[in-house]
Amino acid sequence: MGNFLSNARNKIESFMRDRYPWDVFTDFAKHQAHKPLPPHVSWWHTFGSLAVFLLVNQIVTGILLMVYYRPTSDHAFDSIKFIQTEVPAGWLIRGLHSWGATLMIVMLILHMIRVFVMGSYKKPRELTWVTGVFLLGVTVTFGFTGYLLPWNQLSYWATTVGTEVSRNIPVIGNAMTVFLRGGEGISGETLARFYVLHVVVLPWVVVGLVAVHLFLMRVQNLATMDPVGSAPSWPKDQAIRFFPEHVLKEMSVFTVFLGLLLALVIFSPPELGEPADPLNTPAGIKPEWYFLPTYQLLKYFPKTLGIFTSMLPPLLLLILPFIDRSLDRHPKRRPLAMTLGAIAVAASLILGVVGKISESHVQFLGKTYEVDLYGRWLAVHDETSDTGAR
Amino acid sequence: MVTDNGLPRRKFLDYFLGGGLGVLLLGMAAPIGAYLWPARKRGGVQEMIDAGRVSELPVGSGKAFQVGGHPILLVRAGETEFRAFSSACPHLGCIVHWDGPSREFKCPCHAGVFSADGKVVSGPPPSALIAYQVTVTGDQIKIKVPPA
Repeated sequence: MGNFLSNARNKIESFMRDRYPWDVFTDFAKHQAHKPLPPHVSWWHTFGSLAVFLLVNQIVTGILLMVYYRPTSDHAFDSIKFIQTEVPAGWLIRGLHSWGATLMIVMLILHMIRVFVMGSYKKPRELTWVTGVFLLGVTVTFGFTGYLLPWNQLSYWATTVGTEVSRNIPVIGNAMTVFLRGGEGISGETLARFYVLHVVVLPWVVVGLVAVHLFLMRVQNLATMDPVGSAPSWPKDQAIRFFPEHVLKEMSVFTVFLGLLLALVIFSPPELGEPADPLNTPAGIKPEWYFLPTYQLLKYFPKTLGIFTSMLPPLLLLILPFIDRSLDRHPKRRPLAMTLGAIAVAASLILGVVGKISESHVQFLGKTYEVDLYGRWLAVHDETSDTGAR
Repeated sequence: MVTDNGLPRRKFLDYFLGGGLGVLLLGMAAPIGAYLWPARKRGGVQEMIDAGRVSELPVGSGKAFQVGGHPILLVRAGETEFRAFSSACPHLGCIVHWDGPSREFKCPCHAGVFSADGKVVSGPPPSALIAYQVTVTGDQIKIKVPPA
């Protein structure tokens, strides 16, 4: 068997070498596999790889879901129900896709926080950061377009509210909303548009962006903690080889993470809810968790101002390497950047939590409060009222 | 080699081919844009539709239905008082419902409240509900609705 494989390999190599610059390919692959990484590369550097793993998970499970999914308003809900209840392992494939989408955004956020804290976005890696911000934007768009596809009450009305927001963009807002929806309201035409975006357009965009992102990362290697412009101070003998040292670390994290993903799918499967009803908006419609901070922020500002305010955080993220020109990378030597970063994370968390509990009843220290639209807590005296966050 | 106006032949060819390619791409983008623009974008004139019978709608009650993708709410606010509105909340498009006892329209999304004549009473909606003309002939209720 070993002999057969060895012979086959030699024949393939000989075939390729006769026709192509085979050694150039193999040398490139060997160079990439054994590339020395800076010694500070740690477990924190595995978030990006996990995001790539989740992208592969999304592509594979997405293709499998397409086999049974029907993107029409008459059949979408039933086809998802069929996948969930009738197709062997359908619940697993849908669960992996649904939870994979959520965790992919978590991983991207953690990866960006790591890059921010270690100052890796600074010169000469500005464009790597910019492609990363675009990747986050595309991934969130994936989430938004995919959310409508089950055609249930939650997805229908969250998409109604989400797309209606774009109507507030000056001049082009109305046309943009109509274009996005394929008409005035959310209909089967919106579903078809979102489906095409979700399964054809965005995958190409994301694969292209990931390719550019990884290419830039490999060409420039991982950033050290040395200040911008100074020569890397780590001795070559302390370098960590990408293969096998770092890959082993990534495989360990990957194994644990796969267990976590499966546990979430098994113990907290995604719900399907009720089919979409265009004449009945259920109470307590909220967007997905990653839109909650923006959703809440929009409530505090008038329409157009709200749009501009909600566009500021992503814009700041995008231009961060060009406005933060300090040379230091180490977080201890960047107190202002660290403080502002911490405030941004805290503000997002607070807005997200307030968005989640707004317009619901919350029980706190034995008392029931009604949380209004803006997050204000009003004591409820009626003991028969609803308790617990809805 | 240089042309009569001093532009090198090579540069002239570059501009010519580059410009030609640009025009070609623009020419291709136009039908793509037209194709993607919603084919069923509303147009045309309003039409009268049958919205039910007076005897089917007790005083204080409402009836929700859809015409050409437009969600419509018909309410009987009084014995001879019939009103029809778009039930899409002008805030973020959620469907308002008619609350008979309080004689108000309420939005389940952000607590917007509208009076029986569609005006904003409280909450974030920026404008009143869109009203449609209602005509009652004998027992028949007709509404003039937007074109489908």
